[in-house]
Amino acid sequence: MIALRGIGIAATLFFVFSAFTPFWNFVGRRLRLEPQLTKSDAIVVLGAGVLMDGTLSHESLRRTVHGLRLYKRGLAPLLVVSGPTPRTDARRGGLPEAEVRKAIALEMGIPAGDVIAISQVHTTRDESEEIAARLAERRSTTILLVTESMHMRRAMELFERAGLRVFPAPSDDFPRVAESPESRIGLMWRALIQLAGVVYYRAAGYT
Amino acid sequence: MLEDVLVLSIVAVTTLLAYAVGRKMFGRSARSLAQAWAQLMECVGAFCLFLSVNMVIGVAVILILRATTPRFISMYILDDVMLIILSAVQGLAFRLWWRSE
Repeated sequence: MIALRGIGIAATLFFVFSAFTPFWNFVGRRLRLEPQLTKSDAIVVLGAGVLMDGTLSHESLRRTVHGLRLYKRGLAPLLVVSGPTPRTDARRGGLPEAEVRKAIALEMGIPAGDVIAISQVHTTRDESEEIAARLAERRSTTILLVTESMHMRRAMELFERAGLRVFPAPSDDFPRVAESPESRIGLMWRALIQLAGVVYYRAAGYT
Repeated sequence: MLEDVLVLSIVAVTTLLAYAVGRKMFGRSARSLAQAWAQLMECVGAFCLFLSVNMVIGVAVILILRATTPRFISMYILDDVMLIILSAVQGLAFRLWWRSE
């Protein structure tokens, strides 16, 4: 029980420290990459989830809007949107996230020929390989990569490994704007998840 | 930051009020409060252990299923607040059970 008490004290102090100090803002600023909004061959928007009724998740919508804005600014002639169908939704006839995003892009006036939807992917690694292959068919070599700030570093490594030149275009700046205790805990959780992802991908030899 | 100070201040005030009520109205001692905090920390420690074990088992199961079946299961399934809540319940139940005998 002494050991449990020690773990509990350490965990409580860590939780309070994480919530009430800017420690994770500092860590997040070190992990994120500065945007490099450079003209590229394509804008690639990574998947982040869709609900059964075809509504994009908050994160997916944020990334989609950011990708659309970059396209409207003329930074690339092609918009690539990815995202699978959750298995249970596929059985119920749910649309893949990529198709939902493509439909939104078309409604926003983007020509159909300028949008590619990639739905047969499940992980960031899948996305990097599939998208790189599709872009290679068009002889596209540079991309603006759109994903959340904490995910960007790992995603960028994968896409560079797939042979593309990648310019980061993060869809948020949470390390800078997370100022409430709750948002700092959220930032901590995102950072820990992505750090775990980096460790896993390095251990598996994917990066 | 105002949010940090406000939240901590509110909690500090209600904590002091609860302590005063406990001491003055119900005659509780400071020593018993210290014991209660120690038991609370044991509950938190048990919760941390259960959460860690649940996460490790979850990752292992997902990796095994990915390797042995055609079904894909995302790791983000483990990013669910219910896992945290249930781990807390496990930790509390375990701690109460351990101390009951």
